[in-house]
Amino acid sequence: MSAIALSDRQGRAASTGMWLFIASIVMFYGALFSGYVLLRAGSTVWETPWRTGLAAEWPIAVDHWFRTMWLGIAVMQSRRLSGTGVPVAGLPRFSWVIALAGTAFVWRCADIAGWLASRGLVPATSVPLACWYVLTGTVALLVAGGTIAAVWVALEPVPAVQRARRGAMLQRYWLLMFVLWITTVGGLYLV
Amino acid sequence: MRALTDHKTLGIAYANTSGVFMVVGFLLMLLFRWQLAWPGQPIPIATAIFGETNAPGGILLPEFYYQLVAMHGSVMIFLAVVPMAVGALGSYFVPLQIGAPGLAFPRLGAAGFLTYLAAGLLMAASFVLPGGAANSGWTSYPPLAILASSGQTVWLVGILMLGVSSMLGAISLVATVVAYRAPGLTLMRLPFFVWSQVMTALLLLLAFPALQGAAVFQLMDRVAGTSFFLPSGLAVSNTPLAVSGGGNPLLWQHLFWFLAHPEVYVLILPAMGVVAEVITAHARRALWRYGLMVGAVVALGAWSMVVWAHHMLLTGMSTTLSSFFQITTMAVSVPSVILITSLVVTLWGGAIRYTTAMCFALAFLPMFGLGGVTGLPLGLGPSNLILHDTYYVIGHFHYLVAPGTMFALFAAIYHWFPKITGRRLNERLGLVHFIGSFVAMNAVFLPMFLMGIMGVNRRMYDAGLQYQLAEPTLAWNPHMTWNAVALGVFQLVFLFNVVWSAKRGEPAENPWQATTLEWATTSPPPAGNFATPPVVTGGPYRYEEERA
Ligand code: HEM
Ligand SMILES: [Cu+2]
Repeated sequence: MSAIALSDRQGRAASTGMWLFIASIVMFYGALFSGYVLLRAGSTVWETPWRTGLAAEWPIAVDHWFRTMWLGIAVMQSRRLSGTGVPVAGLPRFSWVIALAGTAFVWRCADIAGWLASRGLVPATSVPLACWYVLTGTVALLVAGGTIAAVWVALEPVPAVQRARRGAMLQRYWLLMFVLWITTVGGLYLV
Repeated sequence: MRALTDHKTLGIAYANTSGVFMVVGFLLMLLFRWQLAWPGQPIPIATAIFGETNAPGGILLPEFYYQLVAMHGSVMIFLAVVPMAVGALGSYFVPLQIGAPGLAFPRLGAAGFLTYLAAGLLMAASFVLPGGAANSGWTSYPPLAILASSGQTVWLVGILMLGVSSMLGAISLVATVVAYRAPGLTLMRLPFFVWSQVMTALLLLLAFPALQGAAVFQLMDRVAGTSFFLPSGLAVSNTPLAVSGGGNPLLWQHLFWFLAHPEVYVLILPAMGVVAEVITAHARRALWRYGLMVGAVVALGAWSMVVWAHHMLLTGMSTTLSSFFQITTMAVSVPSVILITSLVVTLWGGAIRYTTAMCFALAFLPMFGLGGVTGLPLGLGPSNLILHDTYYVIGHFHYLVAPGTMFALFAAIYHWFPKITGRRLNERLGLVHFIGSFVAMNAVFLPMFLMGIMGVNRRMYDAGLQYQLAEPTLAWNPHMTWNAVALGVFQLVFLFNVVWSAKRGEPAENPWQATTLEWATTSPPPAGNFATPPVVTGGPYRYEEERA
């Protein structure tokens, strides 16, 4: 295999691998989410604290707007990463922005979980709360993973082609995070 | 770690590790088979090995018996057969069969193996915990599994890790086939084994996450006190359980079987692939209707994702849902029948060589047939009502995985041993191994159908002593157990053969004159596999040419 053909193949393999990874995460999250839907559909009462007493203390809309925005920033920045025209020198900065947005997101999730727990609203309290913890926690964990990946891409010095490819992979991942987050927000609070 | 990035070393590591787990799973079985044959009779050395808490006076306690059964199933499926069929055979032979120098992501492959190894050791070590290993069956149904001892937590962590492991391995394998096929190797020129491995990998990728999700829920139920699978008002030994309740135990069954039905195809598809390779080479025939077979294997994989609730027909689902799953289950046998028919018809007019590999491959066909046919009554509500949770089910799936998949794995080893070592396994010992295994295997599992039809339940500690209907079957159990022992003895012949032949077997490059790509390089293959990268100009099975 000539050098060009080899790089071609690596690109194809990487892209295939990423799609498969995404499919696998979709199935994982899908299992959790359909579990949530089935539990909720099968319950006669579904008491979500944020619909009642907590609503005044926790500015849910603002809070979620912020977290959605941070994810949006990560998606946009990862998009810039994937461009081949991007100067290699400028690359790390984008990655750091993604890392920052991701960290803020995870921190906020953890913060709210701690706040809920401090008021005695722990996973064991009720199935709705357990669902909240698991779904939010899963997205937060996956975002943390993407954040680590962004830092890793920023730090590892690799040829420009490879870097652009990694950027493209990262972008797909962050888009997936965005979709998962929107699904979670919709499923937990809006429906 | 570095060495594991070579796909051949990786394959061998998988083979050795899963081989050890196979022995472990087998020994667990011998223990509980003793108990089934002679309920309550002491096993001479049991106390010395398993301690007073598990086997006081040499008598296996029920708690320990259920650990043995649960771990036998878990070890055999998750730690032995799948890693052997996919991890070992897939990693070693898929790159060779597509003319690639290695796996697309060698480091992922190695990480996948190490995760599997860690999960396996963890699960095996859980026997030493207070309360022992997981004891809620390989299916881990709640609420039982949530109330079980801490071994269950380890089991769940192990399952999560195995999910990660199979995801890494599967990604690496599929990407390799997509991107690293030799020039000229179009999809419809792939050896059938490669197709079977790709479908298997896709099933693992798409189905395992459901079990991981379920494992997260069950882990939460066990360690964080949630009630995902615990209904309200649950009382254990007349004491109400101190949990919030409001969950649904059936949710676990849905998520579990959404994985576990495809998982049974993970067990069978690689076997089909192996048998296709062995039959073509040892009967000097191209596969009959290769294209149809590829279509069937793809259809089988896809369709296997929509049949899962046939394991739950008696859980009180609506008739609509139940009809749906009965219909899909009947339909899934169509592609299976296509595959098996094609394999049989391939033999027609062939120049069959009765090598040991071929004997195992040929025996696979009727054994798989028996397993498949007995699945049909299970898939229909009225007959499932009678057969569910009886020994008939045990007979059904063991025919598919024991004389089924296991025989295919043996066929693979006899067929590919020369490729790996440059030497052949001894054929005479092989024949002893084959005939002995064939007879013993059937003697163990055939009676189970009858037992089940007579109504004997599975998972009974005392083989059904207190049930009148089980009475006539009690006398069969010792025979079955002795045959299980005999089965073990014949495997010793096999192990001896492997060890001996690896050093002193007859040297061989391509003893079967097989035409698939893995034989187009030296045996064993050099680093990088092919001295000159192969270029493919035709189909994988070029046996018709030699008879022209
Ligand atoms: C023709 C295709 C098949 C049909 C129609 C079929 C049908 C069924 C049904 C309905 C059950 C549930 C029985 C019950 O619990 O009441 C079952 C159980 C099972 N089948 Fe199959 N099956 C087929 C093929 C396979 C294959 C290819 C394998 C594995 C290689 C397999 C492995 C199993 C296992 C492991 C169980 C038992 C699980 C347990 O409860 O522990 N089956 N089968
Ligand atoms: Cu099934």
